[in-house]
Amino acid sequence: MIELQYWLIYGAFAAYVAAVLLYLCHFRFRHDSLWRSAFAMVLLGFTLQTLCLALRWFIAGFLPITNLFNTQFFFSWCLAATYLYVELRYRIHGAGLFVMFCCLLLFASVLTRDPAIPMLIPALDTPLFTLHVTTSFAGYAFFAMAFSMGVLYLVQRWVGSSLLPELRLLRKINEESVFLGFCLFTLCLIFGGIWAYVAWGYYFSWNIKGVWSSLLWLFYGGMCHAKFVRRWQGTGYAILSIVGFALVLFTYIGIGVLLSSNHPLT
Amino acid sequence: MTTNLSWYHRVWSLCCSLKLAIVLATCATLMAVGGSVLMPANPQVFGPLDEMILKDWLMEIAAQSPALTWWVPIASLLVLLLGLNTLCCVIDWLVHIRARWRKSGEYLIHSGFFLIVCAFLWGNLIGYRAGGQPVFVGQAVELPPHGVVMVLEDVRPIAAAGGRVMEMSNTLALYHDDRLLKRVETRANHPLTWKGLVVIPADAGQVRMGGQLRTYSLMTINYDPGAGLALVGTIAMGVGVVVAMFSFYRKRSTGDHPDIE
Repeated sequence: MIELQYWLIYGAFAAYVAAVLLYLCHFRFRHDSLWRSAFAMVLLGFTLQTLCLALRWFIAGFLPITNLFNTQFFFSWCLAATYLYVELRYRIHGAGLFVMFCCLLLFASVLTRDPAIPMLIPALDTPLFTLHVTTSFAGYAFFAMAFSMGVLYLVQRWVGSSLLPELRLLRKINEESVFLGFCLFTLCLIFGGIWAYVAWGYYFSWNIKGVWSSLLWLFYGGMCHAKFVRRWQGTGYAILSIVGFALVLFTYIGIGVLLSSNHPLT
Repeated sequence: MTTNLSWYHRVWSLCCSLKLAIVLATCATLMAVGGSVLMPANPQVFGPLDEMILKDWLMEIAAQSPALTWWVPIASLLVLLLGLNTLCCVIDWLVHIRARWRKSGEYLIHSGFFLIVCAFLWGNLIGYRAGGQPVFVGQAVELPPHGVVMVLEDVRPIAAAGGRVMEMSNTLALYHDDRLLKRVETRANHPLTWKGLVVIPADAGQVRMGGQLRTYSLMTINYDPGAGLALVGTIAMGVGVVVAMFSFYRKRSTGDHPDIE
């Protein structure tokens, strides 16, 4: 079983590397066969990663999302799933490449860590924890996609490349990513709040992680409204997506690594 | 009469305004982003925020360090105003529900947010938090404000497969005028809850008293009268999210485009 896990992890990583390289080649040579192969590689990598996740879930008896290895592995899976969702829905080919870069970066960092599944401590032994973490990472993955679309929107607006999807489509995907990310992040806060109440006796914590998660929710809630205001549509929305992802990075990595919080990453 | 009506309409439009919501959310976000930078460096000031209700913290601790804490009441006020703005939007939606029923999901999220803001305010004005209260086995403790009495009946360890003690299980009983209201075996994520009261055993130990070894449990006893309302708010929000996602895809499939203000 352990041996199989390693095969699946390294197999998925190799497939993602191949996919990114093929997408880059597609940008250079513009052959349909290149993006098709790249997409097949993402599908292969995602299938292997899903099998690995399922195998680890089966071995542990719970969805392993507790330590740094497991959260990064799961986050990279969410990023790949988000990429596949957008690709299958809109056929944007390499336009969501940033999300795959994030996925690869996380995956590369995962390879340096011990994959052993830690024992589940009683405080984390609740479905609320699983729901809280999964919806959180799924939300973050959509925010990463929104960032990617925001950057591409600005590039397309200023450079006007035929390699990139048209502005209208980029704006549409950006808005959809923000909306889905906000919905998932709302569910994350709901599950987290209920869990905090049964674990600590209060549903909102003034810990810096709690404060910044609420700020993130307010920010993306504001963005869900901003798309109805003409001044904020298009370029303004793209800039907001970039700022929002900076807040996401600080909330997830900045607070988890640099500051002491009740959501330590290490 | 016409002037009064238009004045009233203008104020109401401002209260329901999308732009006002964005301004309030932005101001609250910026205020808290700036203020929260002070939190990690001042744990003696901000650490007790989770140990007491906000009203007590503002009066006892924030009042001593106004230079560090001024942003908390301002950000809270802005969120409260955002909650009121949300309420106005919901009322406006209800008035025009025939034309706007497709936005039910979004407005359920708005309603949930307003209810949670109200619940937070209620709980942080008249609730209480008491952490690390030692209670001995057999001891009865009166819990305000309902006049109920909690008795710690038993404390026993829960061991993992290898024999290692993982956590402590506490049997707690709640009485009112000698009538048993509830008996619960509490452990991690399984507290005793009753009408806004929540009792969470945090730790346990033994101490020698009068030649006898007595077992005690350290309890966190919180009372939040708004907890039920907050739960209603989260349910409204959760249902709203599901409905909003469904209607989002429905609108996309019919080519519906976001309105432009």
